[in-house]
Amino acid sequence: MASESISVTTSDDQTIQLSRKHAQMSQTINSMLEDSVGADQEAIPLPNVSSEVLKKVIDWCTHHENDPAPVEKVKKLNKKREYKAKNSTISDEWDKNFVNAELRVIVDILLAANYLDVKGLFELMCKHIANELKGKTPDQIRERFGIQDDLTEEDKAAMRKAWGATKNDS
Amino acid sequence: MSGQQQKRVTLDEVWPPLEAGVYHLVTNLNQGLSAKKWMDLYTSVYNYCTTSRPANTSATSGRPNNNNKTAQTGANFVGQELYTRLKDFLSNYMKALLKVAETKVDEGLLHYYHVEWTRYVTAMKYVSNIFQYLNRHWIKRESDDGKAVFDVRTLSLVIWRENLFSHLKTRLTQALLVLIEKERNGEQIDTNLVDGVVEAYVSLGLNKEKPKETILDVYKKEFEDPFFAATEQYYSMESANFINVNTVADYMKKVEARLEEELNRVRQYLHSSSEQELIAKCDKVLIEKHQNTLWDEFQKLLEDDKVEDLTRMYNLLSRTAKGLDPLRNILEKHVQTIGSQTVEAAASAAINDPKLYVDSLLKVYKKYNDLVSTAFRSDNGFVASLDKACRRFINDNAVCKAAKSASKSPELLARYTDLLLKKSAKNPEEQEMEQLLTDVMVVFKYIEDKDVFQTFYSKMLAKRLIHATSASEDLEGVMIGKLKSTCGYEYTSKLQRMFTDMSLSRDLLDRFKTTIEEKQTNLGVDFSILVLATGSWPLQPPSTNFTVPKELQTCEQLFLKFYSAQHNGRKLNWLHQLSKGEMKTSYLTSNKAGYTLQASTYQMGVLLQFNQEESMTAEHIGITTQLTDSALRTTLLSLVKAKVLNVEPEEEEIEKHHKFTLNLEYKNKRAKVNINVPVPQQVKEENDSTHKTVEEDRKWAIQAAAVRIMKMRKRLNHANLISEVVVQLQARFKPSITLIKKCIDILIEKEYLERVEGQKDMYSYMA
Repeated sequence: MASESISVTTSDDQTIQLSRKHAQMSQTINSMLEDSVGADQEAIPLPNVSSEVLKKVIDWCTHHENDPAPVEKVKKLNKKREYKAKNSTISDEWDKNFVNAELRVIVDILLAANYLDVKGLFELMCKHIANELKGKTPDQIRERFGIQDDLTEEDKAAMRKAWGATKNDS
Repeated sequence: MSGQQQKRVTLDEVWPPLEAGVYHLVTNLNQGLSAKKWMDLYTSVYNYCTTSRPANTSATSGRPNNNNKTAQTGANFVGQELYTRLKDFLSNYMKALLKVAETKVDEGLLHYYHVEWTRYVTAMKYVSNIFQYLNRHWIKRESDDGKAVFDVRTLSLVIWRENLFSHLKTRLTQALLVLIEKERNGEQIDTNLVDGVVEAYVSLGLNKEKPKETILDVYKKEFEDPFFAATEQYYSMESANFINVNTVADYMKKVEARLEEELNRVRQYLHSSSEQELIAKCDKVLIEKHQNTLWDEFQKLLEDDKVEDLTRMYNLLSRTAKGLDPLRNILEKHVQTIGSQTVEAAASAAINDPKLYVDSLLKVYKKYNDLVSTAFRSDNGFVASLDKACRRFINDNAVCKAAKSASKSPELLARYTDLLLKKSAKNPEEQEMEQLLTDVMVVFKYIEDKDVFQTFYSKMLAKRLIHATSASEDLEGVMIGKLKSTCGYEYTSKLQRMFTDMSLSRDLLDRFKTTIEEKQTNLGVDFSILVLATGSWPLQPPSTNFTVPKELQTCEQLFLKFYSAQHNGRKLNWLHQLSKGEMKTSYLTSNKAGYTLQASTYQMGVLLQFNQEESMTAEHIGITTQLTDSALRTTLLSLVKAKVLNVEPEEEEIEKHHKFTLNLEYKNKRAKVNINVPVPQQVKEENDSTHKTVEEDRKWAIQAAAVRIMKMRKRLNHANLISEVVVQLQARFKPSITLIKKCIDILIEKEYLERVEGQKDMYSYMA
């Protein structure tokens, strides 16, 4: 009988216990449990996730532990070979609260969700960041996200031309 | 931007441990992979895919575009190089496997292939999970864009197929077919091995549009087609050889076994989609090709009553499109022959023995009806053939020919029914009777001249009712009910009416008796009566006069008065020729108490004369009774034969001057004696008259039908009129063309129809 909990070692060398149920919400950990042996005996290394972030992930998993399994939707390109924009509204109240944090933390959680393949959490993070991006000019985005402006004027002009934007949009 | 540690790695750093991990999985799977190791490998794939940067960051993002609007996809995914390395690794692995495979042959080759395949497929499942990040991002993006890039698992199959399978496929298929042939020859083979290898064929068929879907193209082309070809060849040869040295019955058994075997084969190690075509090919080669041989044997099997073989032949031939057609005709001819033969064998006796006749017919019918319903599964075509044959031999057989009348069959059937329904010493049980009457209906359905049956039946029913010789009123009702459901209301309405007349008479009699009691009249005799509606009963008025003896006059008159009071305006005719009574002798010494003689009314009329006189001549008796010559002769003869009267001189024929006296020496074992027995001469005359009645009725029916048709059509030509008349009457009888022509002429004479001027053969209705 498999044990009810798994222990993992984070990137900052902390060993954290999590229930098997929550662990299996990460598709990555799930595959590992299926394909390998010894997950019960020793702690599994998670070199790409810090303890702070992992705790947040576990939080989210705990709150969403009874959600139905996500359905794999086949994304098709439309006729213009463009992806249609998805709805980015966050409906769950708890989730709304959850994303009300520093952007740095949000990005970390996003990367962790990607690495661990927790689809619901990944979606949530994307929605939030998309909301942060919407309606901002490039300069505003650079400021919000802390990105350095490394494009030359020529580059910018070429891009504007390609996308049909004017100089005022910057 | 990120606060997390993310290693920046190059492919050369990442690949060696990955390669080792994959190699370990592929070769040493049963040793297992530790969770730590798994996580390591997964993480290195992740790190590689997320840290490498693309070469250029130009506006168009390095993506080739056909039109000015580019597909701006956002981040560039990394993975091409890793994918290539993995691909190369697998291709090399295939080369190693191929080298070994080329040293193996036949079953050994299959075995090696199967083992390696199983190991490989399982391992690649795990490998695919480790490369999950690559699958989810770079591979997915590339394949959405329509490039020939697959998720790792699918990739592994593609590589196997192109680098290993394609070189081995011919030899593999060959080896498989060799094993299958061995099994067909009766040897045991490793069916799991075959199953496993065939499954591998199936798994290698990948849908180009949706690579995750398996399709059967590899299976069909590389295995199924050669398999079908080998099957056809094998069975063609086997069947040709077998049928030359064995009986048809044995051949059929073998075919059945082989078909069963092939079905099992599909279930054991072929793909289910092959079943239909495989069985179709087997049917073609084993059954259809040898149809003629089977058809030729059918007659013999029928003659020998080989029910099991017939069933088998039916089952096999019903699998082919036209396999059963000739069989139906053969069956029809056979049943007809057997039917005719059976009747012919019994003909001389059966012509006068209704039970024997009907039993012979039923025997043949039942035998072949059973055969059709069991061996031929009540197949419509066979049922129809049986019906056709029965119709023929029931209506046209040796007995009918001997009697020179097509109507002999219905006559005999009616007489048989009469036997069943008459009271007799051994009447069967109620349930058995039901079955026997049902059997009668079976034969009845095939009778063409149903009107003949009806005429005879109603005559006999009348007799049974009048003389109270019915075995059971219920059964009479049952029979009428059966006739009604087969022929409709019109056919049985008269019969029904006869029935009701009986109960009406009973009521009438009761009321009459009550009236008499109230009036306290003494009739002098025990009196009962039947009042019958003239139209419904097939009875004729008496052919002779008759003076009612005075002992009976009182009740007759009283009843007449009573009836006229009840039903004003109705006329009653006495049918003395059908009446009877009982008399008691008081003059005989042999029985002081007196014999009770059951006699006809005419006999009573004659005997009662002897209360007046001791001896009388025939002439004298004739005057007092008013009986005509023939009736008188018949009655006197019957009394003499019964030894109640003595005649002088004793001669065959009775003359006017013969003297009659009571036989005072009369003795009989019984106290009650029935002397009212009809003479055989009478019976034959009756029969003939019945047939004549039928003929007359038919003329009327044809004329009525013709008038009905012409009234509707107004104008019709000769041929059409005839055919429509036949159609209208076919439920009752088959009219002869000459008779119809005669009737048309009669109708023209009576001015119902006329010939149209100028147009040959056209008639028109005269209103």
